[in-house]
Formats: sequence, C-alpha cells, structure tokens
Amino acid sequence: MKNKGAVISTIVIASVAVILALIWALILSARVVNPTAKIYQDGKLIKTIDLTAVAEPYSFEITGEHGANTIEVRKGEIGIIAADCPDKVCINTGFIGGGAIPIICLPHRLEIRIESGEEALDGVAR
Amino acid sequence: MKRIMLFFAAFLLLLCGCNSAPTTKTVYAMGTVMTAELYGGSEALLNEAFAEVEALEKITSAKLNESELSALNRNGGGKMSATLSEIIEKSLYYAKLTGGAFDPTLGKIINLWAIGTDNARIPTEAELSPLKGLKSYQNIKISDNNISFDNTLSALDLGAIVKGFAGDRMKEMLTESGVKSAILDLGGSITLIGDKNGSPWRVGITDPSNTGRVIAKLMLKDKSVVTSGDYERFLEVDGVRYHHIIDGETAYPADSGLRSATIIADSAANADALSTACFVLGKDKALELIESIQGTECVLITEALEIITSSGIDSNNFEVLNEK
Repeated sequence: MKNKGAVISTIVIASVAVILALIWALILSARVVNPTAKIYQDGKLIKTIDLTAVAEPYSFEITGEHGANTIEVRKGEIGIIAADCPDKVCINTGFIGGGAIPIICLPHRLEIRIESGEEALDGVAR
Repeated sequence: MKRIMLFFAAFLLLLCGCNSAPTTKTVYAMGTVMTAELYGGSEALLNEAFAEVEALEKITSAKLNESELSALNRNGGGKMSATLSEIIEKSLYYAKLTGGAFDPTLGKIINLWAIGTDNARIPTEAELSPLKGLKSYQNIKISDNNISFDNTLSALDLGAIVKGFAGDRMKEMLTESGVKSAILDLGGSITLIGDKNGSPWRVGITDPSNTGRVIAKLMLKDKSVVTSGDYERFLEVDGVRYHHIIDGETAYPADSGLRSATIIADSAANADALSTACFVLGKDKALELIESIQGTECVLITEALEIITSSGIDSNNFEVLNEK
C-alpha cells in the first residue's frame, strides 16, 4: 500500500514537472521579441519601432531643445544620418540592428537602443 | 503531497529568480551617457551612487570653469581636496609607469585640438611645437595636499582616468551597501560587480571598423573593462581622421598602429589609465607593459584588425565574434 502511494506520488511529481517545463518554455519564448528600436530623448522613451516590420526604408527628424537628428529606418536596422550636433558621434556609430551598442547623440540627449530579446551581451566597452 | 508542494514552491522560487528585473538608471554626466543595472539594489541607492559621480565631475572637470581642477589650472596649483589629490596621485603614478604614454598634463594640447567640440581644428605647428615632448608630469610638485606646476605650458586634464575613478567609487559604494550583482556602463567604461545569476557577465568589445557591432566578447566576473579607441571622437579634415587620444611626444593624435586597446583589471581607474597608455604605446610595448602588471589583461586591435591578447586571455574568458 505504501509502495503504491509512492508510485502515485512519483507519477504526479513527474506530470507536474512536465507541465511546469512546458509553462517555462512558453514564458521563455514569449520573452523573445522582434528587434525593436527604442528612441529616448532626455532619458524618456519617445518612439518604438519594430525593425522587422519595415517594408521600405524611411527617414524622419527628431527635434529637441538641444538640436535636430535625422533618423533612417531600414529593415532590421536603424541609424542617424544627419545631425546638427558638433561631434557627429551619433552618425559615425552607423546603423545598428542588434547587440548592446546604442547610438548616442550626447549633445542632443538622444539615444537609440535595440531590444531584441537575444540578450547576447550585457554591455559593450567602447 | 508535501513533496509535491515543496517541488512546486522550489520551481516558483526559481522562476521568480530568473525573472527578477534589474533596477536601472541612465544619467548624462562627465560628457557621456552612464547607465547602471543593479540586481538586488534600490533606486535610491543608484541615485546616491550617481550623485557621487556628479560631485566628482564638479571637482575634476577641466571643462567646468568653477571646478577645483580648473582653479588649479588657472593658478598653477593650490590646495587640493582629498578626492582630487587621490586622482592626481594615481595619474602621476601611471604617467611615470608608462613613461608619459598616459599623461595627465596634456590639457593645453587637448584644448588646442578641441576634438568633440564646436571648436575642433588642427592646431598650427607654431602652436604645438612648444608643447611637444615636455613630460610636464615630471615637474609637478606635491606637498601634503598642495600642488604646484608651470601652467604656462601645461594644464591638468584627467579625462583619461576620471570615468574609471567614478566606476571604482560607484562600485565601492554599492558593494558596501550590500549589492552583489551589477553592471555599470560609464560611457563605455564597464565596471562589473560580482556575476550575473551565477554566470559571468558578457562584455562586448566594439569593432573599430564598424562601431555599430562588436568584434569580440569577454566573459568576466567582478572586473572592469575599459577601451580606448580612435573611433569615438574625432575630427575629419580632407579625408584624414584626427582622433582624440593625444601622444604627448608629438602633440598629435597617437599613431601607434592600434585602433583600440581594451584593458581588463580589478580597478576601472587603472584600466582607464592603462587603456590610453597602451593605445599610445602600440602593440609590442603595450603587451610588455600589461604582462608586467599582475591581474591585468589586454585585448589590442591593430589597424589591420588583427586581435592581440595578453597571456591571461583564453577561450574561458574570450571569444572572437566578427574577425576580419
């Protein structure tokens, strides 16, 4: 009788483990998102762009109290192509489509970061 | 039933642990963007740590007229606060160790080039000639907390070490408050506290030929990683690129054959000073220098994008991602 109880208990634990593993897998898959560009101005999120949903390249301008930046969006990547800042570091960074490297226009307090769900890197030395 | 409940509880605990979001904060300080991610710390603690960085900037900035450093530069010396004294002493140590490849007295040359500002330009030979090869760090006199130097030909600029110093200060403050896991990104100078959920942190090294991607990855715990490269701030004239890392010997941007020098060390300030020195020294002297310093490693990238590593870098802590 005791053995029978142990067998049932083991079967229940195994079943619960399988169910929980499936739930975990679902949670993990839900975390993976399309590469998304997030544009911040003065530390505040002002625009979110799904880079996989770009049919044709396009550009737009973001103007703030510190100056203006022209941003170009292509399928899978984004970059700053013009800016009236003095150092042009933002333009020189080029186009980004993943990883942990942001585009930063420090004089204009503008940042573009990619959220891809891959989380391949925690930081980038530069 | 008890076993089932225990198993379920353990699973939930594991799940919560994996999902725990870090506390993050981004600030603009020291002319760059700084971001910190804390696992197991409060926002108030982060605010306090960044307040320390802002206080450091007010003391050490060569760009702020009202800073303590600017007053020293105007007067050719004066009394130093304990913080400024500590940074200057460390700077002079590294200036001597590297034979001036890292030199905190190049302020006048840096101001003439003004790279990264509206006033960036190529200085004339007449302007640069009197400032070449002075090694003014050798002539600085410090007694107690007083410093004096000839400010007609030299000026203190701590830009090549102060971000690292800030990283060390933040790390010290956060660990003293019980933080065991965090990554601090002070304008690309990375300081790591502990590990990430038991695994090493993954820190990329920027590809100098395409700064939107990384060329290699380091896997590290509780270290600092600082890179000096020619691609972040530069002036381009007639197709020639003049970057911001000045060689005191020539008063021109360093031309050592390296595109970047990354240093891995326990202290971010040490890594910061050494990354500049290594960039100026070039691969052979840089490797020799780093091999002579215990607990410090380097990853050097040449103009041909060849990747050179010191003896402590191996497949356990390093992976090339995009080699040309």
